Amino acid sequence: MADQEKIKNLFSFEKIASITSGKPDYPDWFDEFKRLSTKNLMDQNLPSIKDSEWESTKINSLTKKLFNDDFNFSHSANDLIVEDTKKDPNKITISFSNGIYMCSEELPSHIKILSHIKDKDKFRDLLDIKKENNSSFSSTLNSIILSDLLLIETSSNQKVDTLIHIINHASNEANLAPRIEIRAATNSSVKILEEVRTSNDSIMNHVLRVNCQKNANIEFYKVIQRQENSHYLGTQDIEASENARIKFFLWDFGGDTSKTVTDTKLLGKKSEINYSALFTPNKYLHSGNQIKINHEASHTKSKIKVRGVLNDHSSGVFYGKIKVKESVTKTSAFMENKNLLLSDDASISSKPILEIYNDDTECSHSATSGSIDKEKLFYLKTRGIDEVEAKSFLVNSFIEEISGEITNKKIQDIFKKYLVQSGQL
Amino acid sequence: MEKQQNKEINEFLKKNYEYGFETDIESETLPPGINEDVIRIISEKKKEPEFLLNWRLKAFAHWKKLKAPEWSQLNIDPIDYQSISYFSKPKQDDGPKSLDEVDPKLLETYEKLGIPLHERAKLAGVAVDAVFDSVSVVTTFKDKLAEAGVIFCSFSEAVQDHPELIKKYLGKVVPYRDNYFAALNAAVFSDGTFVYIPKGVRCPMELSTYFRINEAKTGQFERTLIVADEKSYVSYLEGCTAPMRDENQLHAAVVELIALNDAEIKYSTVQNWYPGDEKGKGGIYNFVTKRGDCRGENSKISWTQIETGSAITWKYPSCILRGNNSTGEFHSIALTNNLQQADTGTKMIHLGKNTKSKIISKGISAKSSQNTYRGLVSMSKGASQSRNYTQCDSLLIGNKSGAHTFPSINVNNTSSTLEHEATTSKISDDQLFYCQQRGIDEEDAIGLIVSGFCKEVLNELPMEFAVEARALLQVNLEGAIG
Amino acid sequence: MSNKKEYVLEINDLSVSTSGSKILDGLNLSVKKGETHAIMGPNGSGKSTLAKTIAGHTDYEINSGTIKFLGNDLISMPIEERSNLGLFLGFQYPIEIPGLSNTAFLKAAINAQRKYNNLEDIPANEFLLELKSKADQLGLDQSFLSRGVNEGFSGGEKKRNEILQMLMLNPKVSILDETDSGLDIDSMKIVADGVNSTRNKETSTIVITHYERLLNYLEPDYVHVINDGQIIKTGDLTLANELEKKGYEWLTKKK
Repeated sequence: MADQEKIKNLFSFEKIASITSGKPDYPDWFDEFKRLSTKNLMDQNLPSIKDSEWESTKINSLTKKLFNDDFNFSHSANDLIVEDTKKDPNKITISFSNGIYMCSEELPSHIKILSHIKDKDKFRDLLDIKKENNSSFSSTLNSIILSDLLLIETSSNQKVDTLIHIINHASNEANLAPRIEIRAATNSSVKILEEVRTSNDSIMNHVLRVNCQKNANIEFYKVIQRQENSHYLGTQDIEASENARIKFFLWDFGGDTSKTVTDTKLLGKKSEINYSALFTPNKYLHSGNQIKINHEASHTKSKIKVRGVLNDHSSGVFYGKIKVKESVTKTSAFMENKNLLLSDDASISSKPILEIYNDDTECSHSATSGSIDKEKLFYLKTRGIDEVEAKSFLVNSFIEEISGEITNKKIQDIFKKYLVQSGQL
Repeated sequence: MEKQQNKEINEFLKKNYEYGFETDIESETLPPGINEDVIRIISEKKKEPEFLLNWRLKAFAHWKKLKAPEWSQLNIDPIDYQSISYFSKPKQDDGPKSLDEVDPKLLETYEKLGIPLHERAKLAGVAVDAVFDSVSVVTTFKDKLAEAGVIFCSFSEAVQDHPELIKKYLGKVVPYRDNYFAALNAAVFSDGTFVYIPKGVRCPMELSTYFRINEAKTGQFERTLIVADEKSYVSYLEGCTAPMRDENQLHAAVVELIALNDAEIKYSTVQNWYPGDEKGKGGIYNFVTKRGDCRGENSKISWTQIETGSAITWKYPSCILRGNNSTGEFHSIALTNNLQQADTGTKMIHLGKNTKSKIISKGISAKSSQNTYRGLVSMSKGASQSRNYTQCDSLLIGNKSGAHTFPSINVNNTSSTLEHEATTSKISDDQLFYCQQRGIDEEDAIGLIVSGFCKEVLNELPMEFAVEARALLQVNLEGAIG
Repeated sequence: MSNKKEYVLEINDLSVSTSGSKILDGLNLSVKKGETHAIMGPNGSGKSTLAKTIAGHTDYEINSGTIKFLGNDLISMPIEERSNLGLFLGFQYPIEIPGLSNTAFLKAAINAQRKYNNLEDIPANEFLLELKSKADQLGLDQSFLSRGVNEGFSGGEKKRNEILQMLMLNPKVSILDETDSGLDIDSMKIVADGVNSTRNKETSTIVITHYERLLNYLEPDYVHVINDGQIIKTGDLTLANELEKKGYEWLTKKK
C-alpha cells in the first residue's frame, strides 16, 4: 500500500507535466494519453517477487530507483560523447543519446522518428490508449514517460538489405523510456541490430513492439552492455501473422538489475519464432530473461534457446512459458535453457513452463545447470593449455551454441567485439 | 507374471469405478462443523495425552488465521469447512481386539476391495492396516512384526503405547504451520498409521494401509508417520478408495517420513479415490501434504505414486536431503480422465553434500481433464557435488485435454549438476493403427501404449501392486477416446 | 475357375482417394491360397495406398469397389478384426511404441487373435519358446525382445521385427510393404528366408518392392506393375528382371 501511495505521489499528472515541462506544446490528446496511462499504472500492483514472473528477480533496487524522488528526465544529448560511426553503405546507424536522435545521416523512408511535432498523426495512431489497457507495468510506465518513437515500417514486398543499427546511449543518472515500433508489411524483410549502452546510475525502461505481417521476415538482434549500478527493463511485444518468420536474438550482460520480458503471439497460421538469448552477468550483477510464447494459430512453430553464464556473485533468472491454446493444432514448440555457474556464489533460477491445451502438439523443454565439465578441462590441460585459457575455451564454446544463431556477417563482426568482452567473464 | 497382468487387465476392462459401493454400518459421526469443542471431543474420544490436545489447539488457532489457498491451475468451488463432519467411526464399543471381533460387514467391505485382512490370505507377505473413514479398523501380522521389533499400528494405538515416539517425531517434518491443509489436518486428524523400524532391522514384509472413506459428508484427515532408525529398511504402500457420491468429499492427509543414518524408506501410493462422474459431479478433493526428511547420512527416501482417482489431486511428495550422501526419488504416474484435475509434483531440497535426487513424472490426460506437474529442485550453497535428474513427460489423449509443466530450478553452488527434460506428445494415429493391424482393439491398444509410456514408474512398484496399478490405468482410461 | 485352389483375396474395381486426390482407380487383383504376388511400380503409383487400404487405414476413402478376404467383405470390417482373421501388413515404416516391450506387444496381439477364435490365452512357456526360436531364426538377440517396440531400432532391425511378428501371428495373407528397403544384403537374405519359411499351401504373400533382388530370393508366382492406380501389366519374374534393366518408362508410356 505504501508503495502504491508513493507511485501516486510521483505520477500525479501535475508531476508528469512538470517532468515534461520542457515541452509545453503537448497537444491535448497526448496529455490525455499520458493521463490515462498514469491512471492505468495506479490500477496496477507494483512488481513483487511473490509474483512468479518476478520471482528471484533483484527487484528492490529497481523499484527504489524507479520511484526515486530525484527523478531526472531532463538530460541533454551533450551529456554523452558519442563515437562517430563510419559511413557504411550496407548499414545505417541510428544513434540516440539520452533518447535524442544524434546522426546526421538522412533516414530512408522506412525509418522515421515520430513525435507530437514530427509526423504527429502517425504518432497519434501508434499510441492508441485502448491498446494500452492490458499492458504490463513496465510498458505502462514507458507510456507515461515517452516523448518520441522510432518507427521502422517496411512497405509490401520491400526487402531491406541495409542493416539497421540502432545505438541507445544513456548518460549517468539518466532516466529514459525509449520506444521502438517495427512493422513489417506483407512479404517484406528487415534486419535490425540494437545496442544498449547505459551509464552509471542510469535507468532505461525500453519498449519494443514488433508486428510481422503475412510472409514477412524480421531479424532482430539486441545487446545490453554491462554496466554496474545501471538498471534496464526491456519489454518486447511481438505479433506474427500468417507465415511470418521472426528471429530474435538477445545478449544481456546484466546490470544492477536487468530484466527483459518478451511476449510473443503467433497469431497467423504457420508463423514461426526463433528466440535465442544469452545472459552473462558477473560481480554482483543480475540478469533476468523472460520469454512467453502463445501459440494462437495452427501449424505454428517456436524455438527457444537460452544460455546463462554466471560468475562471481551474480544471479540470473530464466522464465519461459509456452502456451498452446485449445483448438490450436499441429504446433511444435521447443524450449531449452542451459546454465553454467562459474562461481559458488553465483545463483540461477530457471522455470521452463509448458501450458498445453491441445493434444495435437509436439513440445519439449529441457533445462540444465552445472559447472565447467572437469573431464573437458582435464582433456585440454593434457594438451598443454593452462587452466584459465582452457576455461575460457569451454565458456566460449558454451556461448557459441547461441552465438552460432547469428548468420549475418555484419552482425557477427559486431558480436565478436562482445565475445572479447565476455572473455572477462 | 505378464500373462496374469494381461488377464487382470482384461478383467478390469469395461468396468467403471468399481469401488463405488457403500457399506451400511452403524457409525458414530460428529455433526458437521469445526470449532475448538469438536477438537476437544476428538481428542477426548481418543484418550489423548495433553501434549497432543495442546498441539491440535495450536494448529487450529493457526488455521483460523489462514486464508484458503488460491489455485493457479485448478478450477475449484470454495469449500465450506463447516459442512464437513470431522469424525466418523464405525460404531463398536472399545474397538476390536482381534479380527474375530471386527464387524463382519467391515471385513466384507475389505474383501470387496480386494484387501483380505485374514492373515492366511493370499496376500501373504504384506501386513495391512485398514483405515475406515477416520479410524483404523484392523492391523494384520502384528505378532510377526513385533518379533522383528517393528511397530506397525494405528496412530491412535501409537499415541497410547508409544507416546514418547509420537512426541519426538510428530510434526517435525510437516509442522502444522506448513500450509492450510496441514494446519487443518493437525487440528482434526482422527487416525492414521504409525511405523517405527528399529536400528539395523530390515522390515520382514511389505507394510500396507488401505484407506476407505465410507460415510457421507465426512472428510478424512489421517496422518502417517514413518520413522526408519539407523541402517533400517521399510517398504510401505497405501491404497485409497471411496464410494460414489454426488457431493465432493475432502481428504486432507499428512504423511511424514524420517530416515536416519543409512536408513531407507520406500513409500508407494496407489490412489484411486472416487473421481466423480463424467460430468464432473462428485469425487474426492485430495489435498495431501507428504514430505520425507533424509535426516541421516546415506539415507534414502523414494516416493512412488500412481494417481488415478480423485476429482482434484493436489500433492507434492517431497524430500529434504539433509544428510550428506542422502538420496531422494520421486516416481509418479498421474492419469486424469473426464473432468478430473491433477496438480502434482515434488520438491527436492538439497541441503547436504553429495546428495542425489531423481524425478520421473508421467502425466496422462484424457478427455477434458487437466494435468499439471509442478516441481522444485533447489541446490543450496552447502549442497556441493549434488545431482538432480528430472524427466517429466506428458501424454495427451483427445484435443480438449491439457498438460502443463511448471518446473522451478534454483541452484546456488557451482559443483552441483542438474538436468531437466520434458516432453509433451499425444498417442499418434500411427501407433494406434499399428496395434490394430496386429489385431489389438483400440481400447487395449491405448492401455498398452500408456503402460509403455509409464514403464519406468511401474517398474518401481512392488510386484503385487504393479499388477493392480496397470489394471487401474486401464480402467481409468476407459472411454478416453470417443 | 479351372484352378482348384480358392481365392483368399479378391479386389474388384477398387478406387481410393486420400485428402481429396484419387490414388487407386479401378484396381483389380485376385490372390489364391499359397500364391506369392509381387507389386512393383514407380513412386506415387499407389502401392502403399493399396496396402494400407486393405489393412483398413482411415486416411483412405474408398470411393468404389469391393475387397473380399476369405469370402468376407473387408471394407466394413474393423482394422483389428481383419488382423484377427489372418491379414498381416508389414509396415514400410514400422511404428515406435516406447516402453512397451516387444514381448508384451506380441503376446497381446497373439491373445487378441486367440480370443477372436474362442481360444484360451497362449500358455506363457509355449509363447516364450516359440518367440525365442523365431527370433533365433531371424538372427535377433534375446535382449531385442525386452526392448520397446521398434524403440531406437536400426532400419534393418525394424524390418526384421516386422518379419518376426509375421512369423508369430501366422497370417493367411501377408502384405509386405517395401520390407526390403534400407536392408543390407545379409539382412535381406534373412528376411527372404523368413518369408520363404511361411510359404506353404496355406499362406499367401503380397510383396511390394522397388527392386528385383528380393524377388530373386522369393520367386513370386506373379509380378504386377501398378501405375496411376491400376495394374497395367502382369507377368512373372522375368518381368521384374526386365524392369530392373529398363525402368518403368517403356510401360507407363505405352499406356
